[in-house]
Amino acid sequence: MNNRILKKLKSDKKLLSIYFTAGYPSLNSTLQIIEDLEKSGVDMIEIGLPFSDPLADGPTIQESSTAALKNGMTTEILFDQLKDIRKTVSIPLIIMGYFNPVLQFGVEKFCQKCKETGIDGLILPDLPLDVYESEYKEIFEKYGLLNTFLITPQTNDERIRQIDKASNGFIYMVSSASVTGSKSGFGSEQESYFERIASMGLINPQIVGFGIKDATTFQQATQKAKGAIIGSAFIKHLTQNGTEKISEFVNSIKK
Amino acid sequence: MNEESFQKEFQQLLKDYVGRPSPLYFAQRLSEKHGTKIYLKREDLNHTGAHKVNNTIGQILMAKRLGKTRIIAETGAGQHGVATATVCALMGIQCVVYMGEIDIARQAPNVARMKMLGAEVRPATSGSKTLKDATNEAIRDWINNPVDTHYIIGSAIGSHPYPDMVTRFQSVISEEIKWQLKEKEGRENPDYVVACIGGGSNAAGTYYHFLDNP
Repeated sequence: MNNRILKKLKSDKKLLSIYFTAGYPSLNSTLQIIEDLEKSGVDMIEIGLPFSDPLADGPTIQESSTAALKNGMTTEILFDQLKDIRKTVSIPLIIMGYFNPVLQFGVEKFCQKCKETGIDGLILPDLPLDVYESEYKEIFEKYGLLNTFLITPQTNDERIRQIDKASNGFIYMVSSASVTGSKSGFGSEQESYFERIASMGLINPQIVGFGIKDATTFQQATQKAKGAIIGSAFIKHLTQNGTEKISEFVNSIKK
Repeated sequence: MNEESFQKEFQQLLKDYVGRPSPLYFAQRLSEKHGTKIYLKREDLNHTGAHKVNNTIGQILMAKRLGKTRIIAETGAGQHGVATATVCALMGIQCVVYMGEIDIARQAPNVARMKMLGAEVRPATSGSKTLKDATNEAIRDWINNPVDTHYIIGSAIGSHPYPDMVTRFQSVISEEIKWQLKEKEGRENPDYVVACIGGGSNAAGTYYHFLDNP
């Protein structure tokens, strides 16, 4: 499969992926944020599809979602904004969101739009593995989309192996039992979890998300894993600085 | 859930604590008015005043078997919150109920009742500040406390196995209607079953044993 995520995962460096909510801070900031993130040296981008009930998210991403919806962001508008994105951006782009808006839009139509705009993969935390496999896998594959599953410290080994087998890109490793943006650093509990997963010898590389906010937590998360995702901390940066100074934020992580 | 020891405890509590079976009452004047026979299944006569307690009894027993030491729940008008706070008080388990900020203001008596039963009522201040958002907040709590906490959902909603589990706990309603109607009318199946729907657990339980009837 000729997919940008797979190519990126083969590189020998640790990957930094950034999440932001589409339509935040303003309706039309999507393109500028994506372009600036790539210029700043980010390896992958997760474009958040705003939803009214983001129940895995802490207050920061909740508020950005509410604001984005108030700004008028819709799935239709997002795809329209992204239609020429591949003329200027070459790093992997992933859409992350809840399954509800995808279902509302129409799963096949959504996947088709993803392919047209050059989206490489999807992360839909509330789409369970068995439902995906029985109902949507064929559609995702038809349009060349990688689907990513999540594991948490509570996921047992058997389930992790099952997810590993069903994955064909990376596994999203939720760092701790918490909603997004709530950890104040990683302790010994996280370290032993990171080690446990690393020692399982999984086929798919792991990328850690939830609770990564600065250079220290990025390094801790990527000691064993292939990469890490930052969401809430970047949204906070956007709230404070607007879409200026994106490279300053990225440099502070990658230093 | 089908284990004998579980069923024994569950049935015992439904009988002695909830006060089941609830009466099937022939509403004579209403029947005359409409020229038919109308029976009312009096779920309102259960302890705590609603069908909700059938499910919370079942789930608290489940939680105990899973070794959980803390219960969370969402509530709209407060009936499910009261039913949850009640079974937590019965078992001596910590209870946190999420309730939309707007609903808290609207339903003060139920809030007072939950507190009296020892539950903590936490306002949900996100989104529309009603039931949907109380549910979101409860799930966020559960994400943060997955090991010691059981989430008692009050309606036939949510992820598997909740809709199925809640429906089965509520199916006692139609189970009783069948034998009660047999006693009164000599037949198990009525011509029509009418139930009100909020989250759907009352309707699901009332229809359950009639689903395969034409």
